[in-house]
Amino acid sequence: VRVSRFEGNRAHGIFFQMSDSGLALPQVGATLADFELPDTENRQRRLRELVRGGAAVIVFYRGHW
Amino acid sequence: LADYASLYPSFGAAGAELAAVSVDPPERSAAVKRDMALLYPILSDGSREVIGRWGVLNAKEKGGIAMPSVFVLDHDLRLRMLAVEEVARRLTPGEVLRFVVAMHNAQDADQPGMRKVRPGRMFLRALANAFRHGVRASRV
Repeated sequence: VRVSRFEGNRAHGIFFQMSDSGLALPQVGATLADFELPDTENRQRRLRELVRGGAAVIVFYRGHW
Repeated sequence: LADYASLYPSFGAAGAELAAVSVDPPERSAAVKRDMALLYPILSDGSREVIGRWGVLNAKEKGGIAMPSVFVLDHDLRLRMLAVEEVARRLTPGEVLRFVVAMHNAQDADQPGMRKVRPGRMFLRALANAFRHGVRASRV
């Protein structure tokens, strides 16, 4: 088990990171670029729309590809 | 995905929208969404663009798939939380929810930024393991 780091209380609130330090992951606290991906009805969904209520939780899963 | 489904209303109450992402085409994801009766959207990243940009592409498997991982972004598209399963242990949906609720409450608090999320059981266990087995140098 490898733990890279834990960050709390930086700048404007709560930050947390639990990840493999070997990956080219975005920095916690960084602003990410918007994206647009199709949903199951082939409608394009923007990240900016998903966060509109205050936050978005994006869960990546392996899938069956 | 099913675990998140049961907590979906709670995420909504904390102002958070949920979305799952994989490399599967929309038709395939539609079947998953239907079979599991999911209310949140499943997005398809067939080109691996976002998966690659966010650093969670597992190129070794099946022509490139997403590593199981969770990202929490705030209203300004700022990355607030990041957990990749491969490494430490999987963060449970309940723990992610606790984080989002704390984030939500911190927004309403008089002194935003002064709240601290309490590390959960998983984190403490991972920390204990880190002490026991060592920590690989962090590339910060």
